[in-house]
Amino acid sequence: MLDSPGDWAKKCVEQFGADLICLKFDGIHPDKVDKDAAHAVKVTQEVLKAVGVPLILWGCGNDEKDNQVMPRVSGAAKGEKCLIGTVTENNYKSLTAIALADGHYLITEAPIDINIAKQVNILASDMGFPLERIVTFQSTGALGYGIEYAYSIQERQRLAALTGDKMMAMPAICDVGSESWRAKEARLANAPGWGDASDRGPMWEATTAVCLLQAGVDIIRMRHPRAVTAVKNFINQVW
Amino acid sequence: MILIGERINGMFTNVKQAIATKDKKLIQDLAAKQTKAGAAYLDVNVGTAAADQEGAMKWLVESIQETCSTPLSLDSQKPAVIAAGLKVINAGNGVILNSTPLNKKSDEEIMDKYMEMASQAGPKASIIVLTMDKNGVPQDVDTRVAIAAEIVSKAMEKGFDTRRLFIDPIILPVKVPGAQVQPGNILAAIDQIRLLAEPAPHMAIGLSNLSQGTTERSLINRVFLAMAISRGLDSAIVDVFDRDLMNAVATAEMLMNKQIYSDSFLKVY
Repeated sequence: MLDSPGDWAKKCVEQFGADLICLKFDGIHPDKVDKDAAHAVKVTQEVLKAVGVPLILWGCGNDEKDNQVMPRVSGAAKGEKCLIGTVTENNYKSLTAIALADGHYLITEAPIDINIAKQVNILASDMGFPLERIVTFQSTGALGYGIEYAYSIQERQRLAALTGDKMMAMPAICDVGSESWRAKEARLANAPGWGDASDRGPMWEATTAVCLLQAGVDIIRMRHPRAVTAVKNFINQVW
Repeated sequence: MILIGERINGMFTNVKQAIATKDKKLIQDLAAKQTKAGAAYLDVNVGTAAADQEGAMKWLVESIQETCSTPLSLDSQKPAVIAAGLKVINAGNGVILNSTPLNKKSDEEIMDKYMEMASQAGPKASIIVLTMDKNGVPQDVDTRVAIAAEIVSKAMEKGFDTRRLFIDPIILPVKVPGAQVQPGNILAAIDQIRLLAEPAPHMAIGLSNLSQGTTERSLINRVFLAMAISRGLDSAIVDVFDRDLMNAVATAEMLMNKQIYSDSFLKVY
């Protein structure tokens, strides 16, 4: 299953109720597996074929490699209205232009910085990218690891939008799954007094997600099926 | 900041001529360019020259809406001229009825008429009411605020949402003898008028009037506008083509924490 991204995505949608599938191309990072664009394109095509939900196509964070690979990935999904990213203040031109040409949506990224978030949105919109096709991403801090910063920045962004700042009025995405599971509290198997590890991890992720949802975040990238169930349950009760 | 573009006004020679010769293109160009420059509303004033003001208003509204969906501010002191515009307008995105005094000798009920027309025009229709009554334009702060209080209570009595109410404290040309005290009075009046209702009514001014006849029009306009924004002014009828003015608005709003700072904050308008 793990070797077949298409089947994996299908399982996430059909069994675990994913509304979107996020392909995070960590493997293309030169310091990780350094996979090439052809591989990323192949994975994208497989997943596109396997599921009908919208895709998020997320680069590895290495500007040079992303600029090389993501245009090919974008082209492979042309017209599929994927959410593609991320673009930053210092690296936005090529991916913004390509996302525009291929009819995708764009993730603009800022390092928990409200001013830079606005700046990237202005830069992208200055290139003619429609504001209503932008989703913002502030680097996510998990429970115990900076969640208060993530919470307050998302809250500030939402309040700015509600008071009429159109450059801040986009949906926001958070990367809760991978950030939560980086916490030792979520992962450590043998930790007397911390409770059962099999509950603790999903709870750590669900708590982080629920907290950020309340700050006004719209899209949450998640990992553990039990955390997804808990968060969906919360969403259905509150909204 | 709700900026209302002032350029479609029969007081300007080219607009006056366009009305006379039915030159749609000029009007539509002004509408498009003002929208691009950051106008949230376009003021539409037939001026005094048109013989048939109602017909001219109708023609202007129809011509603009053929090519532009920016909401309009129908600018006339005559209810019949406003009504003529409202007959043909698409008010789905909003419309401002600009403007009426609290009352006047010849028509005690004029503000009620404007509220009535706005109510009929739809939920997004607003009115601008001048702090002026049958005794004329007040010169001091207290009378301005007293008239504003009457305006607000009249609106509340009729169930007219104060968020659809713009109060204009009437700015006079600074160059008129004895008027130099007025800009300061206006600022003091804004402070007090905003406290009259919760939610507060909008505050609007016809900015360009301030600098009539002066040598440094743009500078005077933008400095005063920045000062007024710092006191809570949230709307003005302005020349949106004045780049320096627009930059001053963006900067004042950013400094007042109304807009989040970014390196390109000037591109907001």
